[in-house]
Amino acid sequence: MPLINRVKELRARHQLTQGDLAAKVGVTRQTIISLEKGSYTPSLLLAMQIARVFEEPVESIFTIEEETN
Amino acid sequence: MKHVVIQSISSIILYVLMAFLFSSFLSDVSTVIETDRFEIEFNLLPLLLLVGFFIVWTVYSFKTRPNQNLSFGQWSVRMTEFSEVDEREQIITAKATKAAYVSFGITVPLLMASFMFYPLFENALPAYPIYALASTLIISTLVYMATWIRAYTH
Repeated sequence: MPLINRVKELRARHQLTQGDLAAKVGVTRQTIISLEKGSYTPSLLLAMQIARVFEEPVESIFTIEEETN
Repeated sequence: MKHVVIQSISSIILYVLMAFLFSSFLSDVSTVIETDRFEIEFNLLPLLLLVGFFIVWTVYSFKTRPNQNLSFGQWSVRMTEFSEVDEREQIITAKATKAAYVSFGITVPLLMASFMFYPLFENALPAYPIYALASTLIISTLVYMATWIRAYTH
């Protein structure tokens, strides 16, 4: 069950670069790239930190692909 | 990723230089035993190469360490190939370490088996045990590096 996310969309809306978001949540830019591509599933802590940056609930940013069908 | 590649290659060079140094010492000691003379002549070239490379590598590695908060004491007891700047790199390092461990499980029995034939080529390659031990480290470092790159670029 892959996890899909709206990080790329929200990052564009908040006018943040991948580097900006990476610095805000304390990870490398490569981790944000992998996360946006869907090839990396973040930990709960990282997901919550990202949700805090975008001021949205975690479940509105990260969803299990099965749920969207 | 660049850090892991540079440090892995540096480690491999270090293992090769160590093997060269110890095999050179072995050759020098064998000469002393065979000639039965109390004259010891050591080839200093391998030692100078190792010490020179070690100094350059230590200075470069410490200056470019991923975690700049580590003191020299903390940094010096860690493997320099490890890069764990964030949670994803911790997972990648764990995967690469596991792959390197598995490679030990394959290469060590193969090398143990090769020692059965050591008496056949002992005269031609007296330092074989030293190079065999170095090769286990070199192979596992190469496996670690390849796994790290593959996981990082995935």
